Amino acid sequence: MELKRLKFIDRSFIFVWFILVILGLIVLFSASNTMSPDPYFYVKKQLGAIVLGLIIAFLIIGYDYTQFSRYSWIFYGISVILLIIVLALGQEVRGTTGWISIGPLPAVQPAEFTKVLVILAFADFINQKRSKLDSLEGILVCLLYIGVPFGLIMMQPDLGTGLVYIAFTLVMLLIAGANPRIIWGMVIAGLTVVLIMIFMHFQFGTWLPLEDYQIKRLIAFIDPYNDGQGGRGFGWNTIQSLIAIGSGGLTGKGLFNGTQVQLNFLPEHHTDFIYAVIGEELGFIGAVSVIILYGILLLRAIYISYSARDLYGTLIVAGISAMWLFHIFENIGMSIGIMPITGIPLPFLSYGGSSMLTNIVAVGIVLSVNIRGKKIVF
Amino acid sequence: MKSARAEKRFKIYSYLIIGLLTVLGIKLAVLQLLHNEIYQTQAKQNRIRLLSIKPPRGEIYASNGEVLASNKLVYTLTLSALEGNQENVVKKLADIMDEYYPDVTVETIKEKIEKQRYRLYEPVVIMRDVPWELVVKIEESRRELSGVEINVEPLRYYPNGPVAGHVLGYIHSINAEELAAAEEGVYNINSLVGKAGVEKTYEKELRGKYGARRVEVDAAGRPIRELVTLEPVRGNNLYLTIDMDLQKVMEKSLDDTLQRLQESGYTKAKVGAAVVIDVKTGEILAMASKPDLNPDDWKGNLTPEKALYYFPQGKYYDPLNPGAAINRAIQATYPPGSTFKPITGMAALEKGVMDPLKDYVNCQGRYWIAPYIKCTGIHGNVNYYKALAVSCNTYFQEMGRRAGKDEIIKLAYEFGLGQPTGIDLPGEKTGLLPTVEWKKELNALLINRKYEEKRKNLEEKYNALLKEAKNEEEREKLEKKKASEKAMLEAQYKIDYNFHTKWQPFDTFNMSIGQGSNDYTVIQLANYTAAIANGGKLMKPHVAKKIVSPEGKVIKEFKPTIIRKVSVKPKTLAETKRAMIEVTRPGGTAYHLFADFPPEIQVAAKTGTAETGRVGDDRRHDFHGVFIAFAPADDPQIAFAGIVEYGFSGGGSAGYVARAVFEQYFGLKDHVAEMEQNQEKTTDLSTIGRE
Repeated sequence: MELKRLKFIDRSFIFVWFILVILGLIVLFSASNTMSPDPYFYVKKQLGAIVLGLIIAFLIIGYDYTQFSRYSWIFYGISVILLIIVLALGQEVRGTTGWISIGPLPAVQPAEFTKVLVILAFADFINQKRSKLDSLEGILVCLLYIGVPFGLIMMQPDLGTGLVYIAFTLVMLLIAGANPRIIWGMVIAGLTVVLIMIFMHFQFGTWLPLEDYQIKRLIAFIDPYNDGQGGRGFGWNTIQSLIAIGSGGLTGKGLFNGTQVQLNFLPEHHTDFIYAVIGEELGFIGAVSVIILYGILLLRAIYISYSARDLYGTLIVAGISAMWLFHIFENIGMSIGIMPITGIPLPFLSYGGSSMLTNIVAVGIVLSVNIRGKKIVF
Repeated sequence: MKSARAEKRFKIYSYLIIGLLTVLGIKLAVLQLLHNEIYQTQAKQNRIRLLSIKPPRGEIYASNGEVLASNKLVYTLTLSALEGNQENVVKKLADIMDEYYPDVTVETIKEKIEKQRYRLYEPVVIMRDVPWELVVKIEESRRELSGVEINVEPLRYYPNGPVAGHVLGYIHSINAEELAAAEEGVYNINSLVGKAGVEKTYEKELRGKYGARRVEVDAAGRPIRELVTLEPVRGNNLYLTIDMDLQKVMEKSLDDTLQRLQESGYTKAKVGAAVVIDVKTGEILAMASKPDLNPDDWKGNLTPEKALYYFPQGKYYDPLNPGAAINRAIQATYPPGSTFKPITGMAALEKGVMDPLKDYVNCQGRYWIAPYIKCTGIHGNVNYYKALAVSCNTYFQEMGRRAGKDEIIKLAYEFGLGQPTGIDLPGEKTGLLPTVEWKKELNALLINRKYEEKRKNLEEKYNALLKEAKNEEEREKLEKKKASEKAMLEAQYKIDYNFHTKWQPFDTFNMSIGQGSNDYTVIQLANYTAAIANGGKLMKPHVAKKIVSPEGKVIKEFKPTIIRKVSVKPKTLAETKRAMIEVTRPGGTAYHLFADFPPEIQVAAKTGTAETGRVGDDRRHDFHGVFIAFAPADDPQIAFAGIVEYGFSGGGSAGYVARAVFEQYFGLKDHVAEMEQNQEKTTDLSTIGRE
């Protein structure tokens, strides 16, 4: 244990993270206190995940992250196997088969854990292929590598997590110095193909991996009142979330006083739509503060990535930050009606053991890189 | 990896993060700072519901205070259609209800929701007055039935069932037009409103005022908190002039009479109507129409069988299934038959062309002027008293001739025949008092139509022939022929027109004996009888006595109203009354009915037998029995008019109803006690049978 390295730890990162977690618990309490006979039920479960996460995180901080590269293929293998098991045995919740339960253990979402495992493995993979990243071939190999778990996720189908994969893959490749022209070319090509496929589907009924209702759910956010049921169908969540946040005003209605939340107009208010609770009960001040806190957290993470000891560490932290960034943008975006509803949680705030555990483990990994990084001045 | 390029990449990444988060921040500011008010309003609309509270409808009482229409608290099953998982809830609800209401299916429930699609904030009423067992079952499945509510609300009920049903009328679901016509807030989509009888006439008094509740609800529509409550206001209570004893006796007697007639070969005798009126005030003491109307049938949807019972479907009127919805005391018209004869008699008296005692007419079974209408018998020499007693057609045709049509029509009009009486019940028919103008108007129309057709045919015929004509000569011939034929047609038209549009002597004869086109309602006959009885005052009949607030304050009292005083001399009325007394004395057509009445309760009456005029009826066998009467003759109190369709004669049908009612009213026989005794007996028997 290199305890002396702890003095290099990024204090503002930890401070901001700590505030977010505490804020999350408070808002969760407000959002969930009437949902079960024990008002602390959800807070207790969330705290359990936090404590478990912290224990693992401490172990990881003490562990030299470079040693992770020895297990890259194991991480990769575990991820792929987990995703296959989910596909085979997963229970369907809200359209996706993401849940799995083993014996008496609480049901978990393996897709959450695999994100971090795949980032660790992928960072190592890119690190080894770093010299070939200027060529199309080298980039294609990387994409093939990530394509396996990505494909399995899209088969669930879990579009939200799939997009998270795309986000961290792009960021990691670009940070590693992959030829940006090739990368952007591919992004533009990919987008074009997707758009053409969607267009063809609606014009000529060609095949799409998504069912019609899934597409409708994805585009409902654009005009939520025009969902075929006057806003009571797929548009409902968006509408209620907008009303919740919009009615919060500058200072909010106060904890436990948000009518949208407390009277259940806002669905999933303790999980996916926790941000709408913040918007309604804590107002613009609270909601913007959360964005600023996330901003600081992400920028500190980038700094840690930049100052990592080696490319492997840089890529790990860049991948994790990209993962968070996408989660944050997508989740808040859907709450305020600029992103489709895909059901991915808000890091550290949404209720959910798998997600909380994963994100705290990720924090541990970031800090492990952090304390072993170089002290440099930006 | 601390190259400048790497640093640049990290900088770009940082800007990306800042950029994306700024986008979020801007949208957030738009929502929360710019559009805050819009969303606050929406949040309020989300959670605040205005629910109306149904007021108890005003109660209806008979004159003695007996309750005729009241309210009981019932369980009403409603569905708030705002739920997302409506499909499952509707299915589950239909399943649970199936045992009690096999008619209720997923489709019928959905239909109800669909009907109300623009007012879905109001719960949809699925069923009123559901049994307690069903309430328990629904509560047990509460979790699968979100949106299903069971409310306690007041619902109309009629303790006496069909007794006085036509007078009471009924309430039924409001229709779109009524809802649109009403002022805002008076009704809602689930309102029941009066559609017939006093329930309709006095709707405004009875309905009361809806209360309102502002309730905070959660997303499932469950009320969380009551914010403001405005209590509903009860409707005012209505007291009727109906004497329940008389009403019950009248209905029983009508039923018995119809049954007796059916059993003795008059199978078409299914319909009857009768009215008893207080001659001094115009108050209706009893009014009945058979077949029965039970107001309780109408609160929900009419079952298909009931719908056919009330509104028979068929191209032609079927006497065996006459339809029960109409109140035949006011909404059906009948030829008065011989009950019109007092008018003819009075017309002759007024004209001074008849001496009731000394002027005799010799009846040899037919009138001696065309069309030689047959008499009911060969009466020999009859004067006014005798003629009315035996209902001599010959005598009254002669008197009609002497008095002239104008005098008869004038008197019939003054006694209110062929005009609505203005009774406070909806849907009253006017009937028809034939007049010279009426005949001209009607027949001119018919004749013109007929000749228009003939002229057209002629024109067409010659047009075709002219076309085929080979040469000028032939054509000229045809033109000539056409002209002469046309002249003939026009001459014929003139004759026809003059004959049919002009009042003919036989029109007067027909009218004198109450046949022809005369068509009056039972209430008109009753009112005319009452006017003879009370010395010539035509009263406005009414069934409402007073309106009383729920606190017991009298809001309105209905005072007797005189429509007009008839212009006949007291002597004319006295002679006619005397003649009508003769009808119930030995030799009179109604002697058998009132023979055992004590002398102080002398009945004045007139029987009538009216041609039905209906297609398919046997003209020798099928007659309506009509009967009018009042008593006591020396100080008249009540007047009666009644009809029994296909009753053959008034004395053999409606007369029995009059007798029963008079017996009850004057205390000669307590029919009510007898009915109650019989009822006890049958109840006793049935209990014994069960044990």
